Amino acid sequence: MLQFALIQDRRSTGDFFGWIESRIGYLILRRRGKFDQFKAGDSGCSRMKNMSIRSLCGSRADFNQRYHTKDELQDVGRGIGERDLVEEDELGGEYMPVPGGPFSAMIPSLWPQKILQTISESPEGVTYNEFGFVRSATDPDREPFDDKAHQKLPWLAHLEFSVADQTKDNKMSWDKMHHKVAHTEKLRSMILDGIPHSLRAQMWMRLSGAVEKKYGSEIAYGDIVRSSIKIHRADDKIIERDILRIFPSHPCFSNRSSTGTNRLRRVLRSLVWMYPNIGYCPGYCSIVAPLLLFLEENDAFWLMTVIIETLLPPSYFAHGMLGAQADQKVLLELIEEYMPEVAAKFKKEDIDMTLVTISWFMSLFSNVLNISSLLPLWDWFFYDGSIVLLQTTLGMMKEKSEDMLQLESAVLFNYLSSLPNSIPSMAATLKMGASLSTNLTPEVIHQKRQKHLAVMMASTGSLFAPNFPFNMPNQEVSQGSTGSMFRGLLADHSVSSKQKNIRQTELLVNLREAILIICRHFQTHDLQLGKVVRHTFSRLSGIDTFMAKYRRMSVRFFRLVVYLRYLSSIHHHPYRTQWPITRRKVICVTAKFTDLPHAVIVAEPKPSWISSGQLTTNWASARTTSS
Amino acid sequence: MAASAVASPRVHDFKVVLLGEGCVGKTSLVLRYVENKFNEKHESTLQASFLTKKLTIGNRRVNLSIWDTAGQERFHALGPIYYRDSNGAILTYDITDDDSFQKVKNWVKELKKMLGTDIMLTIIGNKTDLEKQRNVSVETAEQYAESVGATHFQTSAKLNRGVEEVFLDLSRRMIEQADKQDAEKRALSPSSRSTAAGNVVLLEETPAAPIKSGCC
Repeated sequence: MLQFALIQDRRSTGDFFGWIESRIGYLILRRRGKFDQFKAGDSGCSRMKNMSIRSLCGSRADFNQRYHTKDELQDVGRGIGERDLVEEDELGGEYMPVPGGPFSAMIPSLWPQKILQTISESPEGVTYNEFGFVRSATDPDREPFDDKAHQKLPWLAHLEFSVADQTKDNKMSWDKMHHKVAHTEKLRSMILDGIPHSLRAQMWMRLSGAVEKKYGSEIAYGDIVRSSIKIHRADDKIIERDILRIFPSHPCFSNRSSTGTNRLRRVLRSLVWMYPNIGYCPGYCSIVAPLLLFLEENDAFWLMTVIIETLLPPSYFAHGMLGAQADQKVLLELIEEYMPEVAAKFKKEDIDMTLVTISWFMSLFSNVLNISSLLPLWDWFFYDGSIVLLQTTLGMMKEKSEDMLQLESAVLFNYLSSLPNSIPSMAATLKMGASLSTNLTPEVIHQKRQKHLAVMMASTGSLFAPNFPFNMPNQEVSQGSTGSMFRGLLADHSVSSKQKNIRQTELLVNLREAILIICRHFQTHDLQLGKVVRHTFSRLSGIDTFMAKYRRMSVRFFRLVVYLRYLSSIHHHPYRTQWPITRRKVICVTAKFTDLPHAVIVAEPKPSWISSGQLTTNWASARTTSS
Repeated sequence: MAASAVASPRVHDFKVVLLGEGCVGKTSLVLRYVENKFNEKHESTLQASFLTKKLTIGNRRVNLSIWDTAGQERFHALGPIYYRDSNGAILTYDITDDDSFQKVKNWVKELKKMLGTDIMLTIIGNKTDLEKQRNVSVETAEQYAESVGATHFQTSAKLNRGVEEVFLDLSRRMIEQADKQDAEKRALSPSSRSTAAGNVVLLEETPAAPIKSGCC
């Protein structure tokens, strides 16, 4: 089932705001007053309209229907108006790929007609594979990537139980299916064998909960695309650079106006708009681009939001990448546990695995694996979540542990870098990873993550000055103290303690990031209101008036504001809707978060807790004294 | 190339790290230098990789291990792991992009703070083949480099201009630095030697054969 924003009716601006307020007011507010954008860029409004397009078995009619949706997307593109988003390639012509032939594994709306035409006229000398990549001479010979009936049948049988409405006719279709597929042992074992490719995209959406997310969202993808015109220039610049460097040899991603590139650009910009506190992360590009080969643009977007919000632990992509870094430490701990000899070898050769593995985790292995090995891994990832990344790495290392023990430093490092590509069968490795770590549960992983996060957060500041005496504080940030800090803020009894725990971690991680950014700024910019701060501010509505009002405020106060702007971007932050900020609020909020008495914040000439290094220490100690 | 009849029995093992914003040409520079290759369309680097190169300067033999890093802003957090124990750093900017030059300045500040004067810095303006679109003037860059004690070079990995010189000059300075540290070490009494923890590793034998492949 696909969902598109159709520009249906045009209303007056007043009506528009009324509608916004009733429909997505809260959400927009939470996204920090994006009203201005709507006012400036759009006089009409868009409505969501659900279109059921895809049925289980892709037919020709089905494809044509999908083709027609192209115009609507272009409409969304024109709404942006900033740059020409009209697709360059002629889509939806007569040419279809041969089953198992070039481009056949890709989503039909991405089939490049010109190339398919050339191929159909002269099938010799075909240089593209099923996924549309230029086939290199070193490509291993493998079976054509196509569904086998005997693989697909058990899946169809299994899915039949998930069909919500069986009354109408006998034909199964995705829109009749429940939004979420029940996780069972049976399904799990089927997934370890791989999902048939024609069911893959829709199964990913359902396994991960992305369908629920998509229909549960109060704002449609089209609206997000429209709103994302005004993302920060710096992010935009990097996006433009990255989208050309992700699949340079793929005909759909090779130049600035290719179909794939345009979709990728829109999804990435939307993600930046959706998560302003994260901004653009290169990891986005390496995940979204492969997704776009198999999913429609708007599905890819929602799947990515699920990856960011639920499948991966907090702060994976954010500044500092604490979540991802903590996972590397968890990984090392697990290697020590399951393969002590390998861990000892790394230590002996002085190899820091993080440099290699962090990019595997952040790209969900897409930057090291070729697509055909990546797909089974992703099948499992969308089912089980981030634990799969750890298990896969363990599986790969186990498989190659004997080879690794023979090698020496430089050679070993490079061997490790290319480890995933030397794996002959991904499915076998996945099974090995799963069987190797049967006692590894999400709870165990979560505990380990918490532990490493706490240690990393406690050593705040070590990023810029590890030799600075203040940066070696008491390394204990026990969960008890963090719990008490946010008890007042998160007095939501409806959430389970585990979720609460996650939210607290998220809050702390974000807080720490915010502080780090401020520290870095004041360290490198000599207390002048440089670019970074303007960048920091640019996303906060009402800040201009605020600045005008308090132009002559002290630097100290200014720092508080920067700090608070970051607080405000935290997801579940209760103060989020209280912008624009006032001086009183700043002081109150700061007092609440730091547990410093109001008077100290106002009176103290240079609050030590906001200067670098000492920050965490004082902050933590302030905490303990008050409790 | 095992047994050495060369005058000096010592082989210097230097770690050189390439830093700089994304898309300024770090990977291209290393590939040009080590493998003499250039690829117009390069995928962006997410994963740090390293290549090695052997040099003979005068009668000294040098093994360079050159670390290519991910330049994107987000990976800045990994900086300390990248430049840990480095003897030299090559800070690269794109002459057509002023932001990337500002980024170099940030790196210089960070490296000075973390590693002091132990690390030799080289600043490179890459992509001189795009001279027409230049945004960073040579004078500004040279002045800045001088003010922080770094050398400045202009290169084009595409046209293979100036790449070799960069690594030669840096190696020379790293050797000087190593000699200086050696001299300091010798000046100290042998008993207190453990306190002078220089980060130059001097090996008695030539280590493993050069690695041909490895990057990307």
